[in-house]
Amino acid sequence: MRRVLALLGQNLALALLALALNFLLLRLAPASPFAALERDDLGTVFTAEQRARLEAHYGLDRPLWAQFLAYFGRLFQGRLGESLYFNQPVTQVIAPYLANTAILVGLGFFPALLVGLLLALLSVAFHRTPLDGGLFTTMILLKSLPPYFTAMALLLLLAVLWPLFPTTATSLPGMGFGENLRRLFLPVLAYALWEVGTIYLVARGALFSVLGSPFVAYARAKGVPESWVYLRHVLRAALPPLLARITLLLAGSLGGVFFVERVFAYPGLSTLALAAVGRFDYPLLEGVFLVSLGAVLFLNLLADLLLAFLDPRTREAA
Amino acid sequence: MKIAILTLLTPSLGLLALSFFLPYPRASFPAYLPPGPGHPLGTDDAGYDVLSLLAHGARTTLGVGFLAGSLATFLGAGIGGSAGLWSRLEAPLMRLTDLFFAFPRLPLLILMSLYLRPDPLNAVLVLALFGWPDTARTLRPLVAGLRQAGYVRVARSLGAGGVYLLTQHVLPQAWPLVATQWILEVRFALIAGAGLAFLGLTDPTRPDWGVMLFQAFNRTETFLGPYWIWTVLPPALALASLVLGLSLVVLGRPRQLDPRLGG
Repeated sequence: MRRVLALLGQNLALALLALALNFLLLRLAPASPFAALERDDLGTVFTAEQRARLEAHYGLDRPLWAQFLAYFGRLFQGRLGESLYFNQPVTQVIAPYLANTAILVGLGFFPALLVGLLLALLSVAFHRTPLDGGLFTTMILLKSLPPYFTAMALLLLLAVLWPLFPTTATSLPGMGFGENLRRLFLPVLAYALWEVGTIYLVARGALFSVLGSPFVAYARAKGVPESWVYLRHVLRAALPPLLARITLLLAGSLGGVFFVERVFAYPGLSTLALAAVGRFDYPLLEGVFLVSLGAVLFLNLLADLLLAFLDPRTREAA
Repeated sequence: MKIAILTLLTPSLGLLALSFFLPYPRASFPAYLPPGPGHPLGTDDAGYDVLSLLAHGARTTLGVGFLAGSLATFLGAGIGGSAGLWSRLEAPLMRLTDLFFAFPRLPLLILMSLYLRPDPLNAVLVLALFGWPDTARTLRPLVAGLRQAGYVRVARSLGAGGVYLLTQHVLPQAWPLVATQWILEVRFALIAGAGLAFLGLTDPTRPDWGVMLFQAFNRTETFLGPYWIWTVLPPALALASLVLGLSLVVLGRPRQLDPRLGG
């Protein structure tokens, strides 16, 4: 329990630090939020009095620490401000895009996890055969390719040269279930391919490190069938740290999702963020950053907790 | 293996060399000319010659990747080495490294792009800022292990200081690993740098492979005709062959294997 509390504390500190950074980044911005109004070439006259009134309205005339406290107060009420472009609360704007990204990750990640684990088991079982060597090299090369390259290759092969699937994953009104699946297929496949290499490599390494343990040799010596050795002894010992590590990887792979979305014009978080960059929509961008930060911190915590609860070895050490 | 590496790295180096012979690309031709005499790789949607874009783009892409990767290796080796050598520095430096790992990099990069002018120097700094933690994490255990080695302890008991130990005893041992890390960091910077350009977060007027992909994906007609063959394929293949080549180089090199990563 003390271990869990320590973990929560660590993650909380990290979250606070990130929020402070988020706050400061915006205040350090070179352009004043009223820059557009101060430009005279539009024929507008922006007086010092008007400026003071606006600053008072947004609380920008108060000292930095007071603004900082107010910012936290708003965050705890779940208010992320209003998008400048959409003129709606940021949370409302983000929600559908976040859901789309979550769908992409969810549909891609679990098949990738399953396939990655199976291939890793195959690799370990057929160690020192061409099968293991071939799998290993393929996966290393697959992992080393940039995520946008894999996505582009899929796009060119399966949507352009052999048009089985649409080139863009944009949802249109009135699309049936089948059509939605069809448009999702390529982005999900691209994302899964980007994940499967990493999962395979991590799993293969974890399985190998367990395979050398004395208890595996003992199980073999007492005549346990080989398949049972793998399933009952090797996998059981390797799985908890492996799952924790893979959860961490999932947090780190957010970037890959962003590129896949861009290649297929998929209406997810990155599409929203990139549009917000072009419109200088600071509150919206901040919101996207906060949401992705929240997801990453949550996954980090989940990884730590998984390790703490599933692995009796760390439980004793605590 | 050597032949494969050479084949994969040749296009990039060849394009880099070619940039000294080809004129700087200007939009002075009809749009979407297919490959043919005069334009070996055709022209793009704005009438730029694709080959000269590719050649001059090699300068930006390779330059940013090389500089950012080198800076990241330098920073990472310095920070990881210090954390390994001086036990008092270990906790603060490694917490800092953890912090960088915990941040979602890409959303932060997108956020930062609002504040930074999109020029290659800023790209180098930002990429190095996000690249170094990997090297720091790889080097710290090695250096920390060396600190316990017999000959280092003897040297220390004879009065050797930290700097002397670092240059005379630790660096020569750590060198092969630093070299491998350098290739990995350059590869990361290349992928991430071209990725940023592909997302449209860098200077769109400067020739760059990522920018070429960004432009092609911004045009709806790219995939409606055969245009993608000479606007998307050349930069994508150039980048992929370079990255794969570097990966193969790393595969054949000594490296600190994280046994759990298996690679």
